[in-house]
Amino acid sequence: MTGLDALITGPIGGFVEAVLKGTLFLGLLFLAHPFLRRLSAGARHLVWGAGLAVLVALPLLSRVVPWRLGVLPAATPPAPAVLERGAAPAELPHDVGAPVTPTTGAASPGVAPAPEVHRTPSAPWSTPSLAVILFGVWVVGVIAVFARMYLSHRAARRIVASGRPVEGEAWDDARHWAAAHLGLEPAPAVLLTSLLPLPVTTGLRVPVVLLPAEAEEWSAARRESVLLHEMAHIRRGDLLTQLAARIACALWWFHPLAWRALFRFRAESERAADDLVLAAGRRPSEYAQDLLAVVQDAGKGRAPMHALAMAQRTDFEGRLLAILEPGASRRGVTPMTAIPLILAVSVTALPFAALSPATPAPTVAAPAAEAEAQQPARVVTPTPTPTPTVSLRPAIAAAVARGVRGALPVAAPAAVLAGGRSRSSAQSRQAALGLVGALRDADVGVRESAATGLGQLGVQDTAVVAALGRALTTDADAGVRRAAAWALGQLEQAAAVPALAAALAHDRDVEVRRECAWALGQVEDAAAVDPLVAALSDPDAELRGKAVWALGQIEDARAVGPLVNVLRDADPETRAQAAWALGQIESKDATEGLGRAASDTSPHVRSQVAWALGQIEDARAVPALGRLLHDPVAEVRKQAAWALGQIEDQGSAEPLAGALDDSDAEVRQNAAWALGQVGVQRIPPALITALADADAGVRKNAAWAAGQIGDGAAIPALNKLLLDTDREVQKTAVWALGQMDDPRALDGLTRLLQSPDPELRRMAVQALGRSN
Amino acid sequence: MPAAPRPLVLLGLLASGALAAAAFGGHRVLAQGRPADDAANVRILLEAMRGTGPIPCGFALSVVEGNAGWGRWSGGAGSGRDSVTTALKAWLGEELHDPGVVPALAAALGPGDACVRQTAARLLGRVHHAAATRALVTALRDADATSRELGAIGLGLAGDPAGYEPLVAALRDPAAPVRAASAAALGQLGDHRAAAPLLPLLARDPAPEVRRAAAAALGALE
Repeated sequence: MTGLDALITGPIGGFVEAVLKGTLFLGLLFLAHPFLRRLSAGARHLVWGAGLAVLVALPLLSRVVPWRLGVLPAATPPAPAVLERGAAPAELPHDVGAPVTPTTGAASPGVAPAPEVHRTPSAPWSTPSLAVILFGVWVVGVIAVFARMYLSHRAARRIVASGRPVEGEAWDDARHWAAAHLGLEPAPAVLLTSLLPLPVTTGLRVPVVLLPAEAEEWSAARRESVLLHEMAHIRRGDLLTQLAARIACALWWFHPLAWRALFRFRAESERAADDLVLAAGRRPSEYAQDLLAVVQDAGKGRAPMHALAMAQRTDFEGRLLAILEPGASRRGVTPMTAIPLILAVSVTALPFAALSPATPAPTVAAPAAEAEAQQPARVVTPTPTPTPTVSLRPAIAAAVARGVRGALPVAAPAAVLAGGRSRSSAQSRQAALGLVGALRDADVGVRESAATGLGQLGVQDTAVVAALGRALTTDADAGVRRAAAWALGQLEQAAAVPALAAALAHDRDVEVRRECAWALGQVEDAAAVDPLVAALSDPDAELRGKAVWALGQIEDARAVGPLVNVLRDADPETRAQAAWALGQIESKDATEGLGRAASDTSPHVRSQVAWALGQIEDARAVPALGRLLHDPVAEVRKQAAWALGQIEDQGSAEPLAGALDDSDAEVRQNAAWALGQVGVQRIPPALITALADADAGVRKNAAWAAGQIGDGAAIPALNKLLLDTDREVQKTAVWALGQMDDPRALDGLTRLLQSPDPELRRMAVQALGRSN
Repeated sequence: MPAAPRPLVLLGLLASGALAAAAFGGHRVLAQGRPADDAANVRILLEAMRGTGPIPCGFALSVVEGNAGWGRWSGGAGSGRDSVTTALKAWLGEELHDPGVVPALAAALGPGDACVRQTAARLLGRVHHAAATRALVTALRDADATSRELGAIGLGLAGDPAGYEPLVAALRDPAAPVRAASAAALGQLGDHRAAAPLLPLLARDPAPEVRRAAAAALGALE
């Protein structure tokens, strides 16, 4: 007991008190952590950051807080003076130095000495020397942690110095895209290094993203994910806050909970960066795969402490679950959310700051071990959509259809086209001519704004088109040329084709060339076909993709041959786009080439090929589509069944009947629908079986198909569907029975006239009228 | 040693927990709506902005301006999926009609904390009342160049046609930032008459930033 008194009132009293308070405070934070799960990772990051800041500030706060909660163990009588003098390790060194004086605990004047302390021979240590030892140990610890930080900083610098900047347009593109997405200006440098196994971000003043050398082999999507994640750290200012958190931990190095808090702080910053990536539109499943791949490549390597590593193995599983959690909050932190959170943590700290020695308590409730936020792993299952009639859209167009500047808010050019507003139109023309003059401004920014403005104004004047064409082909700045190409794409004037074609062929800047390809797709003029076909052999995959898209827009049959060649492109995305474009053009000349591409290695390409064949509606495609009905990927089988329904060739009835046994309900739905399309006279037995399918959508489409075929063999099964649990199925069955030219169909319909459901009664009456 | 006041310790922990819960609930209160008192809300917001550094202030301002706010990644201006931002926008956007807040905002727009005056200018731009426009026009004629610039920014946000003439006059301001902000504001007003005064600016203003703003504004005119 007297030993405890010594702890409280002696020169180390302030230290012990600060440690007690810090322990209590951190303990509360860890207890509260499971309840913070509803908050976004960004908000939790803030809570832990604020917690670490409060930890450092606690001893200072203790002096400021005007009231006292007397609950801490204290010697009798309570010695408030200890509080006043309390020198905690987190304070300035000269403050801490005070207790080191070799005199007794009553160091400073005005402090009530606690005489019994010195009278206790039972104390295993003498107070002053203990203070000196403790303080010395603390200082050594702080120095050691700082030294480690410094070494790590040097290591990071060395790695940065040895890195080589990424090269190539694909990288530049990904880098600028990610930076622009996050609003980072200028885009941070991206270096490749063989010294690191995983991507990290480092550099306080000049942030740098470091990627392992293997990054060269990554897919475009993975590069973008990784760059987005790393730049999200830069955007969030994580490097600075982590440095601050590390300093806090350096001062509290002896406290395991402080390190644990730092771990949580870092983990939440990773999750918050993940959230930014997801908010940028990355699919969670794909992003999780990217992350997993990066970690697997990395093995067990560790990044230097002074860098933010994308995929440390610690907390990895939790992160993956957080990424895939469908309902998780992914909000960013705004000042409006930050302020209440920081206030909450600070206010929580106040009672701890106010804790003061009072009547001794034998035990202080020890903070429970941290409870990890357990997030249930849930798999997102797509909800099957009942298809009344099957319609499939190409997924590809939307992705390409945007120009590089597609996101700009664009004023509707309609204002100018509408002749009714002649005054406004005259003003716009005047403004446009002014902007045309500004295309020759000495300042690059003015020229770029002028070109963009012309695209927004949408004045379709030959002088404007000519001036933009001149800027596109002669301006020294690539940004201006890009803006000019974008503006020409907005104006959609055939007169722009020569300039766009010239720039597409000869511009040095790949982004300008891409913009030109996009603009030519906007203009949709047949004169652009030849230059776009020439661009199909450009080394840049994205440009090839845009040229393919543009050719799909123009829908000129001359492009078919070259596009069929693109079906053998090295890039699967480009191949898929070529299939989409061929589906747009709808020329039967593409059937053979597409038929060959039906055995493409990429399921996405195969699915796109099936769609295109369904667009072209050439019966020669039936054998290839029949094979695709056995594709290992359900999406491909689904598209193939739809395409066979489009082609309406009786030869596909047999393979489609086989597809009614498919394991995937949507494939069965499409196959049932397609069987109703192909024009068979006899209902295949498999379709009758499908009328009792477990999936309501399949039953409905099968009923529709049975009605189309009109074979009376389906009547008993259709009659059963009149009592189906699904209303849509019931209604379709009533309709189908009405299509039957068979007296047996009348029985079920007549019975339905007794149905309590007025709508079904009405439908039965109509169906009876039709069949009579 | 006397008996331990363990209940006191527990009580302290409970109390701080309750405090924490109350404070965490803050953003939900925000999402549900705010008290009817515009003046109190404006005061809270301005106080919250005091001393905010340029970068976080920039984020806050974009929310106050009615953009998505925290970063452009959330889907571009006005379409943020971020529900807190949406809530803040609703909180700011729907109910600032009380002209009683104008004097306080006009005072806050004057020389003082940078983030506070920036916020005040944008809030004035969102008070849909003639008094706010008058206050912004007054700021546009202030002796202090920053006040004039902020007045132009506010008038651009307000979109009040009454701001048109003063903004055109401000295109001749001696300070380039004021001319640039006025040009941008005229682009936001969208009055096609502005083409006439903007064109000479685009052709001849010595400051590139002014010519840029003029070009962008001309592009935004109908």
